[in-house]
Amino acid sequence: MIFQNSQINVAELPSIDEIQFQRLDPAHVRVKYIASSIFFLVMLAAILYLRTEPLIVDHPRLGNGLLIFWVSWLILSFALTKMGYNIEGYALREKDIVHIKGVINRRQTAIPFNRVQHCEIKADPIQRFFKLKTLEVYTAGGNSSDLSIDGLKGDHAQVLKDFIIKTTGQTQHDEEE
Amino acid sequence: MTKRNDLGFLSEPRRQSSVAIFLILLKSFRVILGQAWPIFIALIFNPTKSKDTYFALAIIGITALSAIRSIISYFKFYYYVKNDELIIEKGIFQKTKLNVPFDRIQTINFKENILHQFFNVVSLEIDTAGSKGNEFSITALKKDKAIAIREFLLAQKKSSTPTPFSEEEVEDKIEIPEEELLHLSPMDLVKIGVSQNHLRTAAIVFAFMFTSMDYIESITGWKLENGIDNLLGSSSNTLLIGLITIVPIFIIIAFLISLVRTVFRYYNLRFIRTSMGFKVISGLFTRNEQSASMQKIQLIRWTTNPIKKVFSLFDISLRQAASTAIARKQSIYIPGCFEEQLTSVRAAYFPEESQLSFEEHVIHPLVIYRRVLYFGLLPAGIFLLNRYWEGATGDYFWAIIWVVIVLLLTWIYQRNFKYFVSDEGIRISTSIVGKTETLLKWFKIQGVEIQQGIYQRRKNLCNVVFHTAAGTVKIPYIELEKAKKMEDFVLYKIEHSEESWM
Repeated sequence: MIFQNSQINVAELPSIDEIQFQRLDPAHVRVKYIASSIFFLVMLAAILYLRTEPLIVDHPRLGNGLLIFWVSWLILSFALTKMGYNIEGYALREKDIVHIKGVINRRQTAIPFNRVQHCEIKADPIQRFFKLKTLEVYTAGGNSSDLSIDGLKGDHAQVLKDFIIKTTGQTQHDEEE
Repeated sequence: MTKRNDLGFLSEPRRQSSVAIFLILLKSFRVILGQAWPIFIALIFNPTKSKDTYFALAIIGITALSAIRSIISYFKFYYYVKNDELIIEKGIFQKTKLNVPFDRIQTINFKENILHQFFNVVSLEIDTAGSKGNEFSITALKKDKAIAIREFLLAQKKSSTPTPFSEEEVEDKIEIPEEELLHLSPMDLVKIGVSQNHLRTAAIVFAFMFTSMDYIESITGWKLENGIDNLLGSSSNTLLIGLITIVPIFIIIAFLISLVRTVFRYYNLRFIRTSMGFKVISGLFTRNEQSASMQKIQLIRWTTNPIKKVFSLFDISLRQAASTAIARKQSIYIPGCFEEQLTSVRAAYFPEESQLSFEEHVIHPLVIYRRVLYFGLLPAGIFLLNRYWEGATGDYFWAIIWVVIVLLLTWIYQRNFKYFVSDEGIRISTSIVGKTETLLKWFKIQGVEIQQGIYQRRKNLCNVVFHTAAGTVKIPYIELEKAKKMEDFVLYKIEHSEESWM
């Protein structure tokens, strides 16, 4: 490649601001609901068992408190899942992938393809039932900069992965020339 | 120097130097002793307790077994070179074969402690980036053999990877022969020892005392807490007096510890500029040799503190690409540098720095309110609430003092936080008591992140985090507009950079 040092007009750079984020598959919310339902059912069982303990039978307010705690946590968790779904999104650009998520603390991460180490597609049993996949994009920056995009349609995840790997390979090939 | 054809020995499986048996043995004994020392102490002080005797027998059994294991594992350990890969085979029951392609090798370090020096062997540590737990080491190798292997591997590496350097750097590489940048004299060591962060060491000593107090009490039967209570009186009003007497004692202990540690670790430190990058050799009993090639260095950071300023000293750390698990080990740390060394390190990492124009920016003052809320008011409130529940009142004084201290520190932090942006990289300067500066070139960045909490969203502020292969660099509380512009620019720079980040 020829050495280039043309002047950059910063105002004309592709801007993060103009990105239209792709939303996740609607079934993703259901996957999340089911996963947290399992968690909350186990917790409910534990609480109901605890309520038979003499200490809590003697103090009914404590037992009720536990139930109230359970209910409010459940509502909060489901609400956050729903809100999170409305916020989370990803955008594939020519040279990088951008991911945004988080209801309370919002994080927008951008990874250039020429810094990607490798990609992986994963799916847990619930995701498999809904034919959803998780795409993981790894960089050399360690855990904190690795991307993990949940709730992608199975074939969609594969397309994304192929695109990223193809582009990564290309840029590396370019660099070697 | 060793010639290439002398390295025929590498092509067939070889064992380590036989000294390795002894060193492995010693290491496993040390591990066992480290785990079981309270029991041994208990045995010495209280030999009558029969339960502990069984324990001791069990430990002796384990020790014997581990000794046998060490010997067998020595005979099952081979290393050799095949098809441009360094291969290590090891394992007694579970055989392991480690392949390291030459071009994946990040760094090759020698380590020798006093025993190594006595037997004239070194331990060889090879690190590969990215993959966790894939670093590997050979416990003992004859020194000349180790040097030959290192030169062989580095030469292979250089020839196998096409160098994507700009012309300028290639010239650099040819022109600069090995050059000693810094050699610490005993006087320098004393200066470094004196200027360590004694408060931190004091805190560590204090924490250690606290956690091991139970151990010591249960073993010896002494009641340390009572002793301290008697010493100070039991009323809570003497807290202040207690602090006034205890803190200086800890600081003096910490001071002595740092002084001794400095001498042990940095004795006869030599900081060398090699044709590839940098090399540091130091240590009194354990001689450490670390080298880093310029390409592997992701960012550099230097710090100073008020005492160091008096001696005009800096600590420099060169952060290398490494998997997170071993990241700390991979940063080359050189204490006691002067302006001169700092300048040459900066010029090596970022040759254009002196010519580029840097734009100065500050962070938003709102950071003060938030930090004071989280670290000042919240803890103070919990403290007061807790005291209130216990029925004690009138501790407002401490709570107020705490909040004022936090306010003052964050105010200084905000005032002094500056970042300087240029076309090729960024310099970040933070200081409260000491001063830390970080220099990062854009193309070394792996990913850019913009973080926003609820409050920041309302105020149109955010944190920017740059992820690199040697850790993250964060700028808190900057205007969203500015952050987005910076992100766009940085992504552009990364995506159009032809230099390889490693």
